[in-house]
Amino acid sequence: MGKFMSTRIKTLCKRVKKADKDAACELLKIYYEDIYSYLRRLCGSRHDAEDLTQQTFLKVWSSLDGFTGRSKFSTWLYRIAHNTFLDWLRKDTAGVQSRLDQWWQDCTDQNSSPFENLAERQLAQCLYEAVDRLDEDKKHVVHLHYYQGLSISQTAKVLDVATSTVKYRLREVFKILRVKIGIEENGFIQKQTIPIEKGEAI
Amino acid sequence: MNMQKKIEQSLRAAPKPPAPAGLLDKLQADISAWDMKTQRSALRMWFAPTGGRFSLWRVAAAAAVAIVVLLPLSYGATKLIKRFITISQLPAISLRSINQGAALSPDGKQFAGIAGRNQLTVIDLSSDERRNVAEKCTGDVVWSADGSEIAVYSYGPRPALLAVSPKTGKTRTLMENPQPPIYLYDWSPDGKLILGDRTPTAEIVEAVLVNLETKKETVLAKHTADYSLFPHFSPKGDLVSYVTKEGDRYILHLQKIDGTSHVKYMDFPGEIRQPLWSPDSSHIVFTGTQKGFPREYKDLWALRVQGNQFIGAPLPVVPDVGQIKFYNWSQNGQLAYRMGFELGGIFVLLMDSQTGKPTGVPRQLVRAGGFPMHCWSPDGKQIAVLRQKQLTFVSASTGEQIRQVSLPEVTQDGRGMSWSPDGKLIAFPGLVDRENKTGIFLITVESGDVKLLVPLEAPAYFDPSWAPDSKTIVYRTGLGVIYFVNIEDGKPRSMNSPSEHNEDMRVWEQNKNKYEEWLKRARIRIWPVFAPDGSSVAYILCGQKSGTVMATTIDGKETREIFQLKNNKSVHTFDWSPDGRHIVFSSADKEIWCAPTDGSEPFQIADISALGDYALMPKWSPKGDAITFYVAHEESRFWVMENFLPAAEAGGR
Repeated sequence: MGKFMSTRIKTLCKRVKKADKDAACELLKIYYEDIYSYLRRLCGSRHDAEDLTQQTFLKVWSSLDGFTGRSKFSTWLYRIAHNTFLDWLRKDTAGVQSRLDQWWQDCTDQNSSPFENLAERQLAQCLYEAVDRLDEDKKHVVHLHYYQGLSISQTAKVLDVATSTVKYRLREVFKILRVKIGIEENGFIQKQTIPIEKGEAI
Repeated sequence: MNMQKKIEQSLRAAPKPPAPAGLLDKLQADISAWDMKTQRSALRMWFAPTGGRFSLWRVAAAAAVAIVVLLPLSYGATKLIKRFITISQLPAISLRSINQGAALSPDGKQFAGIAGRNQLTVIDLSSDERRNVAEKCTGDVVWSADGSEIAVYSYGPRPALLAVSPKTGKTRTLMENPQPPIYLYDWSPDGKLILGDRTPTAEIVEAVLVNLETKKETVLAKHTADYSLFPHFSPKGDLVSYVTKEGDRYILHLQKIDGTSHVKYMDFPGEIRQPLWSPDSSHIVFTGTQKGFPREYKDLWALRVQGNQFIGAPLPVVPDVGQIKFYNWSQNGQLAYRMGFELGGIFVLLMDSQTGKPTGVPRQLVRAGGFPMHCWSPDGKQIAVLRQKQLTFVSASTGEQIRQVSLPEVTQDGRGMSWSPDGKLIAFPGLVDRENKTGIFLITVESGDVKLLVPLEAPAYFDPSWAPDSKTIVYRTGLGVIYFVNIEDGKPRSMNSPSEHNEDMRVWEQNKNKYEEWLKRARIRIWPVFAPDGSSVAYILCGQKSGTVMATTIDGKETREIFQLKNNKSVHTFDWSPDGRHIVFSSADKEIWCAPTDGSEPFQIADISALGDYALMPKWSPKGDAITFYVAHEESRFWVMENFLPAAEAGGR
């Protein structure tokens, strides 16, 4: 994010603290799609993701006074979204059944696919499923760092862990992804893989 | 583009779920509905209730309240907070390359240990940079109190205890050619004394204190070689602690280094391991393992020390610590430790019984760490897995658990496990805890009853295998001699001719204290497996030809070579195919091979590098359509723990 944008966000935050509803709407427009997509990927249902996005922003408005500006607003926002998701996960005894929901199927559908070719689509599909089966700690790191584009340090702040822990988890993720998708350095050769049952962590 | 970049690119380019139409409106409506008041901080409201300037009276009153009430309260709160254990993860590091003696530096910034080709390696935790600072080292390593040197035993070309600088690799000799070699446990804070253990004979281990200036060696305790004595200096260096075992009782010793005082704590109801001093000398903590049902319980205990005395009884401080390994307890109270996670297990690989080649890729059937033994049921429908006092029967196709039998008195002790062809019994090498007897045991499959068939002396790699008639078991002893035992009378007889057998025993008697010499001269046969037709027994010939599998007829009259591996490869464990046309074997840690028994060239059928650390004990299914094998795969995490000592006693720290 550029310096101009960063200054603009700070200004908007100050205005929201002074009960400026227009500023709140502007801030909302900047971030709501990112937060929705983050939560949608995690919870796997459109309905739940909408609810969680709503809860996240309600928490933002009610606690913006507590945002001191020591971290980026986006980091703080993702932290709230992350905690909102964790609260939901704890309360939802049924758990997340399947995250391979309709939007992904739409993406990978031949006609409307954003992927250029078959190999790319297959790899994306493999990775999507493999990431979905990672254990929770590792999965959150992938979602925040890669899917949402947060830096390592932002990811660490959102998850409330050290940056070295994020790096370590990413390294572990690659180890696992390599094994799971069975890719060799020199090409896409199907190698021996451990078939992992859905939801089971390696 | 390398694979990692490809994955990263693909992850970054992953499409985003689009926000549904109407969501923005809903969220904006929330903003409109919410009463967004300008909020003033509670402090400001207290100091300036009218919204104007601060009231001086209120500021003065707040200061008085802070001094009289809040300060003492916060002191109490700090003490209260200190009662809670803090656990945090250390930076991500991999000690996979370290084979022996990983030790954390006193400042907690570097690990040292012996790596693959016996180099002393130092790993920087912040950068993960690794450097080798000395060659031909073995055993454990210890850091000097100031972290400027690492002590290690070097075995060549001139064996010595060395002090090596972790920065420059510069070495100095602490002690030349200690005989027998001393493996280090601790180095006194003043650098003048070391503690270690050594094995003067194969059966005995001694804890020894060495004065590096006078070279005087003091033996603190002796023990049978199956137990470590864990000698350690107190932080001031005036006391040593160590553990011995008498019968079933573990004894914690506290001894002044000048020998003027020696006290023991003898009442701990379990096994004491890894005793470690707290940095202020107030406690010794240790892992205590107590027998329980259906498993053992391993907790962290603390025993208070005052002067040269133990005070009171040990208190449990952290429950269920599992595979904990301590590294260092730093001056600031942080105890660094490792926890291990077992991810390996029994894998299955589908096979073409005609060609001996795989028809799929290995698939994990059962997750099980800790070196489990396994075998197929004769009908090929189940697999029995024995680990940690539990015998579990799982479906051979799905890995789903069918039945579990608890064997609280039995410890598996050795390797190999075999299901009788009539389906009634399972043979395995083990140890009955109560009677302390090792040998070949039989489990009745239906009832779970266990009986000792042949008592044998440890070390117990007995590798039992059933004859097709379910009446005889073949096994081997620690000396590499193969025996048959009839399950009716339990009487063993040697497979070799009497003259060969006598020669084997003579070589052992002559060289039993010279292990290397015995290895050179002995004919060691391991892992005997009955041929499917029962006419012969195949086994691995150890020593100079450990890549050779031989077969001897059961009358001992005829021996032939089935195959011999080239390029110094060795055969670890193997099994016959049910039709006798192939032998599947593990080799080079991560490879599974198949050898036709008609003399054709062996060929590799699986490489488990992506699955784990090593593969062992391949077993062919009775139908010949699959093999199973065990893959060991462990991962470690490194943590630090603080504030775990008992609160009342921590106050005295």
